[in-house]
Amino acid sequence: MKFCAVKQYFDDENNNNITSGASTTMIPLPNVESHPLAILITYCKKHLKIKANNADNKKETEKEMEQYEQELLKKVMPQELTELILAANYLNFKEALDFFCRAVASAIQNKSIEFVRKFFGLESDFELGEEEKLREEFAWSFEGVDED
Amino acid sequence: MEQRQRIERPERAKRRDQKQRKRLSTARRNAFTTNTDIISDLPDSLLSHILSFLPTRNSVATSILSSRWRPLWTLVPALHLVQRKLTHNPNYSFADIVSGILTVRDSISDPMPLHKLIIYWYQNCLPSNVNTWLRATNLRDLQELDLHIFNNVHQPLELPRSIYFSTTLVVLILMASILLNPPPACVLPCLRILELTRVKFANRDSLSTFLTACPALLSLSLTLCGSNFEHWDEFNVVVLVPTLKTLRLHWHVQSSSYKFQINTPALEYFNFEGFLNGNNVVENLPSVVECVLQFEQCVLMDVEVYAKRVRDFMGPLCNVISMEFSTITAQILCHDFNREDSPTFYNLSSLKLFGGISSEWYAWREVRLLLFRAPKLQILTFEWKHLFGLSIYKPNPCLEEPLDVPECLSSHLTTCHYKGFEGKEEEMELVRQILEAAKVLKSMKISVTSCLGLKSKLLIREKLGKFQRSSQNCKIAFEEGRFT
Repeated sequence: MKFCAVKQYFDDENNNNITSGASTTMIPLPNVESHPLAILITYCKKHLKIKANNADNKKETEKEMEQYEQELLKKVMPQELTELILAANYLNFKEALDFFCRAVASAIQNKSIEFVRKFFGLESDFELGEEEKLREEFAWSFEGVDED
Repeated sequence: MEQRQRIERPERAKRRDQKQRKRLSTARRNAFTTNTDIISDLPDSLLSHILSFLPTRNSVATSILSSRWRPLWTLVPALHLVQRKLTHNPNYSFADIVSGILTVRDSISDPMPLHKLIIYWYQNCLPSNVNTWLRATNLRDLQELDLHIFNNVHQPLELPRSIYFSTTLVVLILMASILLNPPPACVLPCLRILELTRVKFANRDSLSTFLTACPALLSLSLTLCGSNFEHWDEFNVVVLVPTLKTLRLHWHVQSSSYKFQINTPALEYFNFEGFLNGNNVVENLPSVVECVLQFEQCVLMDVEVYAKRVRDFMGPLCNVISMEFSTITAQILCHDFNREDSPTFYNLSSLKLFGGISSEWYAWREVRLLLFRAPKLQILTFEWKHLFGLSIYKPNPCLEEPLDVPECLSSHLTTCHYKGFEGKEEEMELVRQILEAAKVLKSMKISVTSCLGLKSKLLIREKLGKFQRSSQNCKIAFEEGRFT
């Protein structure tokens, strides 16, 4: 069960011995929008499908999963990533959480601070001189970044 | 019920889009910047989770984004302090950078306990600095410790005593100028993975004491060279670990004064590289499924004596299913191979020969001999790889086809893969012989080295296509690759 937050509902059902076909219990997910939920469900299904297709071959599974993830990232906007991260965290879906967090990290890796501020939509709220002090303290980390 | 759902869906989608647009425009109205803030909704724990995927230099740099972001990098429970990755600028000293990082981390009230600490220091290394850093850092919850300390001048680094009693450490990787000095009562109940590469030992009992202290050890990698213990007359490396599943032993020790003894009943994977000059003991390996062998050639004794040592070494490994060995190993093994004491590999299903596989290394003759001892072999692979060392035989690529065909070739071999094909005469002959003899072969894959010209590659394909195949279903596939 990938969506660990949802697991408890299925466990409860088994205890109540519901035998008729597909369950009709509605599972409330108040903190998840439908749009990111749909993406997460697709991601999960794809992950399980790839795993089943390549049961013995771990390398093939990883390769196919990587290809699918690359394609998925092309379609997702930066602002959607935040929603996906929150949703995956709420649902306790570790693989998706790590994947989308890694995607955000890749987007800002080795970029200048100005780029990162623009990308996230952040503004500096430091006192005068505080930022200069920080720049001096960690000067080694600001060098050698990619051109914007 | 269903009809109503079908009508509702586009309406629902429209409502959802409107809601999203409304949210974005509200954010735009509220934002001071021209760009929407897409990140501040996330809690600190998720922001630091994102930072945990960044290299340390980028993660530390985010402290300047805003006052909220200033301490976030210290919430990441891992520190990767690799000299070459923190900065390329020689004006910044690694020691100063690391001290700065640790000072800031320690100044946070209620600091995040470290789970993972990696320090790789190659140039101008001062082990005493690393000593200070380790002792000043809270290592109580440490799960992984990885130290590569390169220095030839100063005293090696001594680990803090608390490491030898850690109840949380799972992975310990030590390389080079580090002294292993375990106290007699040390115990590491959670340690699963241990890698010791050219480390120093305090005394001749240090290694056995340490291994006894790890009751749950699953994987051990030991790389040793003569200078690890040359100040002792004899030194035995004894590996008696009942839980061990993976063992890599690289024994670059030429002298016969030093020996190793291996007795690991649960072992499944065994990788050995090195000399067999001492009277080494290898026993009790009933579960080994896969092994990789790269013996260095014999320098201190007659080839016959050395070859017997190699055969005795491989005796306990005769149940393996998959085996890889180097061309030198093949040459040593086949010296006088058809004696009664040569091992037979009844379960061997996959065999790979790696190294220089053509010209003076042409080992097809030896491999054919070995195939007689692997009656159920299904997969045969040749891989070109650069190895140091000289061939023990003079070049003599015997291209004559022997009369006997090994049983596995005619009745079991289904897959053959040649990686690093250059189109040389002896390589073509090898492939020709296999194609001719292998009656149930399904796939012959040739990975041609990409430095050949297009014309040569086409010529090779043409020639190989013309070879007679005794298996009707056999497909020949070509691909390119780089082989080093």
